[in-house]
Amino acid sequence: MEKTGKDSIRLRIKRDGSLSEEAARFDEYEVPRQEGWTIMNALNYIHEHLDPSIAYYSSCRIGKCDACDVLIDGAVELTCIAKFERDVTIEPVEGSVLIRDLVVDTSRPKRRKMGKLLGS
Amino acid sequence: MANPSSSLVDRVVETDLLIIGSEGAGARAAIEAADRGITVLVVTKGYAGKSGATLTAGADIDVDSRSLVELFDLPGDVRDTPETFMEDMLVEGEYINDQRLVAIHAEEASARVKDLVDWGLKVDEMHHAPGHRYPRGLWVEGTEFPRVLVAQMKKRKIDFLEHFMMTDVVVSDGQAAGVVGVCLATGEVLFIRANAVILCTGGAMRVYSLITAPDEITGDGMAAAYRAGAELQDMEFAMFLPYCMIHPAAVTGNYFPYMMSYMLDSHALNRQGQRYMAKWDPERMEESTRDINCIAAAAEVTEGRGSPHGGTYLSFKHLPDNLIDFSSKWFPPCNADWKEGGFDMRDYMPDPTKEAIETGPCAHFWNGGIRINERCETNIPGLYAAGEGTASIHGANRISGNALTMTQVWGPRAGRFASEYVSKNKAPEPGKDEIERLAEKMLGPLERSDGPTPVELRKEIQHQADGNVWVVRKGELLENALERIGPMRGEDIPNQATRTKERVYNRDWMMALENENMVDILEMLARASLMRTESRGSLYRYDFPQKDNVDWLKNIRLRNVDGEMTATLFDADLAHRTPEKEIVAYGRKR
Ligand SMILES: Cc1cc2nc3c(=O)[nH]c(=O)nc-3n(C[C@H](O)[C@H](O)[C@H](O)COP(=O)(O)OP(=O)(O)OC[C@H]3O[C@@H](n4cnc5c(N)ncnc54)[C@H](O)[C@@H]3O)c2cc1C
Ligand code: FES
Repeated sequence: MEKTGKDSIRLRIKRDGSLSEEAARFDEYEVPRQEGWTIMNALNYIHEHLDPSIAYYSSCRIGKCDACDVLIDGAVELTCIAKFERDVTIEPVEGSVLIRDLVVDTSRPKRRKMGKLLGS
Repeated sequence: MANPSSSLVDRVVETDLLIIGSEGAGARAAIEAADRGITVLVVTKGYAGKSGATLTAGADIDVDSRSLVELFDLPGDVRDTPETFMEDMLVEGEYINDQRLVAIHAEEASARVKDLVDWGLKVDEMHHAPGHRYPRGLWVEGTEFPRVLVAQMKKRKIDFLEHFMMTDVVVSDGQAAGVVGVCLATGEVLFIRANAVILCTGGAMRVYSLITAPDEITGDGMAAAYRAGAELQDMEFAMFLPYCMIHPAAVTGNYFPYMMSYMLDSHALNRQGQRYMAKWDPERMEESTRDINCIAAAAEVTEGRGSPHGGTYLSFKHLPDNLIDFSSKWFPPCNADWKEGGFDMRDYMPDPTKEAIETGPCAHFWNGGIRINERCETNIPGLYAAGEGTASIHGANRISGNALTMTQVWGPRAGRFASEYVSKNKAPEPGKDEIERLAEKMLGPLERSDGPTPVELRKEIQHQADGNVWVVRKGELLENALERIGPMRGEDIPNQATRTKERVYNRDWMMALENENMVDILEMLARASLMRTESRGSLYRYDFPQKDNVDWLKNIRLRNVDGEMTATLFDADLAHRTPEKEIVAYGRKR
C-alpha cells in the first residue's frame, strides 16, 4: 500500500453488509496520527468523525475478552491492543458467519441459534 | 415463533425463565435453573463469555479464611468465621448494608466458590487484601470464570442469544412478562416473553469517561428496572479505583499502576511533589483504603494541584532500580513482566525508575442498584436481579474481592428462587399497546433524520458525570448536573437521531439506546448524592465532610412514580450489629 504523509495514517477497511446484501468493498480512511493510540482508538475516531456506519466490536479494551479480533494485513490481531502506527488493511476474521463489516458470529451453536432467529 | 404481538416487533421468542447477562451472575443463575429442570434462555449484549466485567478481573474472590484451610487446602486462618467475615463487610460498608443479606452471603460464599473449583477453576494463590482481618482472597485470573461457566452452561445445553440488547422490561398486570430489545446482529426488534426475568447486567461505570470496566457497562438493567417501577437503592455509591492510567488513549482506565502500588511501596504526589495522603491518613498513607486514596487524589485535582491530564503522580523513584526491576518477576502471573491484559505496559508507561506515572481514579464498580431481598426478588413479582448492579450487601463500599463472590452467591440464589416462581406462576399476556410503545421508542432514533446525535449526547452525559458528579461531590455541582439532566431527559433523549439508518450492528443505534439508560443512571447518582448530606464509604461530599451515624444510618431508595424520580429515606437494616451513634471524621471505620 502507498505510504501516506507523516501526519496521518491510512486504514483500508473491508466493508460487508452481509445481511443487508450490500456488496463487499474496501473503504479507505485517513486518521490523524496520534501517539499512544491503538487500532481501536482509530476505529472509534472513524465512527465518530468519518463514517458512522462502520461496525466493529469493543468490550474490555485491554486484550482480555478476545472478541475484537480482526485480520490486520492478514494476521489475526486484537484491535484494542494493536498499535496504531502504520498504514493497514483490516478485514474480519475468517471461518465465522459475518454479521457486518468487522463483526462476526463466532461459534457454531451460536450460529445455529442465529439461523433460527432469522428463520433460515 | 412468528406471530408478533405488535406490528413493530419482528419476532417473538418464548421461554420460561429469561436471564439478561451471561457472565458471573447470569451464568450461575442459568446453571442453577437448568439443574432444576427449568427452560432458560440467556441473552447478552456481547458474546457469551466474552463480555462484562467478570473476565476483566485480575482477581481476588473472597471466602472466609477458615474455609480456605478446610475446603481449599490453603494456608488461611482457622480463627476466621463467616460471622467475622460479615463484620468486616459491615465495617467497610459503614453499616448501611442489608445485614440479613450480608449474613447469608458470608455463610454461603465458601460453598458456592467451591462449586467453581470443583468445575475446574484454576486458583493461583491466596491474598490478604486491606479491610479483611484474615486472608480471604483466592487469586484467580478473571478469564477463568467464563472458561468454567460457559463450559457448564454448554454441558446443560442452555440456550444463548448473543448480541441482543434488552431495552425495557415488559410489565403486565403488575407482573414481569418478558423484555423487549434489539438483536444487534440482525437488526430485528424482539419481544421475549417469559414468566420471570433475572437481570444480571452489571454496573453503570460507562457514565464516566475514565473507567476500568468494559464499554458495554451502561447500567441497562438498572435503568430498565427503574423505568418498570422497581426500587433502586444506594445509587450514590459509585466506586472508583485509585492509580489507574489516564493517558494515553490506548491505556486509559488500565489499572496496572494500582497493582504496582498494591505490591510495592509507592508515593502519591501532587504537582508540588507533596505526599498529599499525609492530610488524609498519615498512618497508612498510600496503604489506606481505595476510597480514601481516590478522594485524596480527586481533592488535589479539584483544588488545582493535579497533573497535566487531570490526575496526580504515582512515584516509585525512592526505590532502588534493581528492586523495581525484580518486582516484575514476582508479581502475580497476570501482571508479571509488566503485562496487563494484552499490553506490555512499558510501551505506554514512563520508566518507573526514572519518572512518576500520571494516574487518576477511574470508575470501577457499582455498590448500589436494584433493591433485592434474600430471595433476589425486586418489588415487581417475577422480576429478579443478581450480581453487580443490585443493592443489598455492600452498603457504602465493598470490601476487596467481594464483587466476584457476590456473583457466585447471588446468581445461584436468583436462579433457585426464580425457578420456584416460574413453576407456580405464568405471566399474563402483555397488552399490545405497551409492546408497541416500547418498540416505537426503540425505533425512534433510526426514523428521525434530525436531532442530537448519540455520539454528541454520550459526550455530554460523560461531561456532566466527570465534571459535576465525580469522586468528590458538592451540592452546587450536583444541582448543576440535575439542571442539565432535566432537558437531556425531556428533549435530547427522545429526539436522538442516528447518523446512519442501517439496522444491523449500528453503533449509533446501540449508543442511542444506551444513552437513555445512562441519563436515568446519572440522575439517580446525582439525586441520591445531593440528598445524602454527609460523607461515607465511596461518597465524599466537600460540603458535608463528616460521617453522621446519628442521622444517616439510612438508605436512599429511588423510584419512578409516573415519570418523576422520587427519593425516600429508609432506616438501614441493623439486624446483627449496630455502630456507635456519633458524628466522626470521614474515613474512620473501626
Ligand atoms: C478491571 C476490573 C477488575 C476487577 N477485579 C475484581 C477483583 O479482583 N475481585 C472482585 O471481587 N471483583 C473485581 N471486579 C468486579 C467484578 O469483576 C464484577 O463486579 C463482577 O464480575 C460483575 O459480574 P456480573 O455478572 O454481575 O456482571 P458482568 O460480568 O459485568 O456481566 C454483565 C453482562 O450483562 C450483559 N448486558 C449488559 N447490558 C445488557 C443488555 N442491555 N442486554 C443484554 N445483556 C446485557 C453483558 O453483555 C454481560 O454479559 C473487577 C472489575 C473490573 C472492571
Ligand atoms: S475489546 Fe476485549 S480483547 Fe479487545
